Amino acid sequence: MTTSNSNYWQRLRSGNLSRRALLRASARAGVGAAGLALVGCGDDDDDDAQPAAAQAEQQQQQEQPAPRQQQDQQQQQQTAAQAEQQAQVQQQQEQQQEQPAATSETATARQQAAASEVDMDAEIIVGYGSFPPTLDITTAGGGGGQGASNNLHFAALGAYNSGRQLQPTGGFGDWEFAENNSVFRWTVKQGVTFHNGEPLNAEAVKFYWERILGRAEYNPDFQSQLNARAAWMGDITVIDDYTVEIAMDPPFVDAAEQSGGINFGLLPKQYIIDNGDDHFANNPIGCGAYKFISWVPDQEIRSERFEEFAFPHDAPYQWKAGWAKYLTGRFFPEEQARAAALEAGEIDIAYRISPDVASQFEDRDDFKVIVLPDVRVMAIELPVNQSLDPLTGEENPWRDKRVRQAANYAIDAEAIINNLLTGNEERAYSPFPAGKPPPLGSLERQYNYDPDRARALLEEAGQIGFAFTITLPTGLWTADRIWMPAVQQMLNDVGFQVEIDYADFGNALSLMRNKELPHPFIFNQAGVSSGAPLGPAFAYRLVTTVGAPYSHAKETDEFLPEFSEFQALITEANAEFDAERANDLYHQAAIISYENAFQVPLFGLPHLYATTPDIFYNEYYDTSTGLNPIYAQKLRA
Amino acid sequence: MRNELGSAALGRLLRSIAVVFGVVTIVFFMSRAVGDPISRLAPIDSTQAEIEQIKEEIGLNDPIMEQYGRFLIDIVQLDFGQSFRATRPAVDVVQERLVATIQLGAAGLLVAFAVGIPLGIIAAVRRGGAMDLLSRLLALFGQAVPNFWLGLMLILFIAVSFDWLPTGGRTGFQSIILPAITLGSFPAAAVMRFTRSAMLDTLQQDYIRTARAKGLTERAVLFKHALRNSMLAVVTLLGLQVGTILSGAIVVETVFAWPGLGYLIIQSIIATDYPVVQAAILMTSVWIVFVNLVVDVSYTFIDPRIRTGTV
Repeated sequence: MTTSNSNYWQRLRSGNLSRRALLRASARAGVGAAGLALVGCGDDDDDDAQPAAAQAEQQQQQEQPAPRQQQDQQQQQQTAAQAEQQAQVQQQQEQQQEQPAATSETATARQQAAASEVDMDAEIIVGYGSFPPTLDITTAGGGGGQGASNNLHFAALGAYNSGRQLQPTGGFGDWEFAENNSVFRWTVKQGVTFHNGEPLNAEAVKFYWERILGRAEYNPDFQSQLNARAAWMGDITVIDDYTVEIAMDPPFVDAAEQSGGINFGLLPKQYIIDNGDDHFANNPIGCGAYKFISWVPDQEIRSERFEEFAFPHDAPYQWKAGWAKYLTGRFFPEEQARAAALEAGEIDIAYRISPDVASQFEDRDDFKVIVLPDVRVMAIELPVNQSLDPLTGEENPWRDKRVRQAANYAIDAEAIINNLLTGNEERAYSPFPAGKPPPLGSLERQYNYDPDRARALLEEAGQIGFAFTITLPTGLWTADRIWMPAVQQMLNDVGFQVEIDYADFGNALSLMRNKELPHPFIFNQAGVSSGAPLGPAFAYRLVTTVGAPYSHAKETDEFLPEFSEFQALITEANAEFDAERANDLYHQAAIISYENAFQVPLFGLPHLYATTPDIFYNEYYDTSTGLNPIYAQKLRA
Repeated sequence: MRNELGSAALGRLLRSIAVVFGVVTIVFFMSRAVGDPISRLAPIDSTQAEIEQIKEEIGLNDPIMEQYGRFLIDIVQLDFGQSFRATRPAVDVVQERLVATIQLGAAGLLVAFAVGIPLGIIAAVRRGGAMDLLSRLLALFGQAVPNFWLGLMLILFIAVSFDWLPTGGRTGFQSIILPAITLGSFPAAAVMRFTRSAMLDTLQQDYIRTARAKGLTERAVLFKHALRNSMLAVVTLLGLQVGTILSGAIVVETVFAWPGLGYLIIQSIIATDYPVVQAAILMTSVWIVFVNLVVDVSYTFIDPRIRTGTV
């Protein structure tokens, strides 16, 4: 088991709740339920993480001095028999640790001993709030519910570490830039088979890229949601059985992510050619940790552990063998019904629940709540480069640094976290995901809540009463209509006059992309990338910068001098092949952004899950999906 | 007489077609007014060029009237295009769910009529009594309680507390009971009130007094003479309730995770999946129009005076 920062983020809780309280909560949630009925429930996007011995993991957690780590008291109060078993496992581990060089046999023995606590024949049933519309990973983009299928059935060439850095080696393929960055080369792991026994080789890899690009001969009309991502690919050449090269002109720094990242699930060539795309979309074959058994649309997806999976439970990176024999995803779009299904014993895990529903399960002996952070940071994006205020036609007040700083000082994010959210959220100071090593050095926490200073700055700038609108895309982010009014009130308290535009999520995103929102808007900054310090797909590709889809900035804007400096660094970093160098550039840019208050970072919203007490989950990979049932363990009773 | 009936039926049919045409036209333009599907279709970090490429591929860059004309030609051939989300024919996606919704709707109607008609009869026969009061209270409850709340309460008590029935899903006969009760509660109240009112009206008619004077049993008076004559109003209600049931199914299917058309429509609207929205609403409207057509025709069988042209 690799110890990582992931443990820092996991909090397992237990507690009690009376039936009356549940009834009260249900009644109270009535209006919310109606809303949910209209807008649907939380979505889940891409990818993954790692497990190991449940009890041994607990001990490791206890040894870690990490702040805010809370142990699952339920886990600690195992039955006497379990405690005895646990002691045996720990004893074995201690003995093994004393040995100077652990052989692979001892590692396997440790794994087997640890696994003895886990019911390897178990079925884990997960209640999801969204389900995929198709099971073909290349056409399901943006459809939601990927956790119920894509993460289980498919694997991609690249492997991420716990910081969501795509590793050059150690996945289903090793990658490298070659020939002066004009070629991107993948060397495929040997001996891997798909669920139907078809071998994974260079031809299969070439086929799945060409299928995405609409170049595959069997069906040139095939349309994939990923074709835009793969548009950078030139000629694809099979060099030998396990080596394939992609021509690049010009060189593409993000080639690894956009050819072997999590969205690019490997597919079996012959199976698709023989059976067609429609059949594949309903009967997927991949080389993921679980193989598909059956699917009833918007009802149930059943999967079985793939015994020939290419990686063991304790593999160092993202790809690891599954624990439970069967995984069944059931669809409960209404989250109170999802909670009720957990309460009734129909499911083991209620996926993605709101803080309100999570509170029903907190402090109970018979359930526990798992809190995993999203990799995204909620923030207010400010229009700093437009010369005129769209409302008044006068000079844009956001060009005044004091006004931007006032907005940062005005918001008590900690109070929102503690009083309106779960208390588990992380205050954000940059577009880096909460919990990442702050890149801002001594600047961290410069903008902690200080309403007096905010008002003074606003007065000094002559902008008391500055009226503006903030657009909030609604319907996807946790508790959006709860924390947004508080942000509004705090801004108004220091002298702003803020209106909130609660917009349909899709429409708001469309307006942002079309640069049709001239006023501030809320966005989650890290998006599909984690913003990991060394990650190539950095947050600034998504927000704030020129060319980013969710940014106010356009080429034709009248840039502030500081923004020009910031933009130059980002542009340079985005084209930098040296990851260390790119990372330095991003950090420099982040400091400029922070000093000049180009944004108002708020907090990272967590993902919440409720489970039965026999479910053990101790994986956190820095991805946007959160809990991945592959790594969930069902402990023996 | 037969010609008059035939031309009336033809006129009704033409009006139905006009209604369906109006519905599909409104749906076509409304679905485009509510949002841009690209924001849901394209990966979140797509560039503008990539978005334009996707738009071009699915025909969203064509002028709106050109899209509309193409749409009208296609729907005559039952071709609604490919679902943006499911990437297969929209009509296939809708057909898969239609069965589940019709099943649930029929069960809801069954509950509504099985509960509403007996209660209405009892309330009318025992007018002013305890049963009348109880029936009216139940009707009030059925019409006042939102079905999402009722559904959650049924889940909480019947499925969670007593573990008698599953909380949701479509896994067999047991799984349809709670959603059918939830869906049928509102129309049951309406059916009960209509039945009571119609029965009270009928029971005061001269022919009922005559029937009693002839010495018929009360059962025969009630079921052979009064109930049959009261059914015209109740059958009319059936046509109206089909629409209510289908719209109620949207919420009930969400609460009970019933994989039907209602939830599909909601998901498709959110995802701005035009082809599925259009196919689903067209099929729903055709279904409602068809049931109302059947109801109209059924009048002639229920009331011979309509058939003979005496009313």
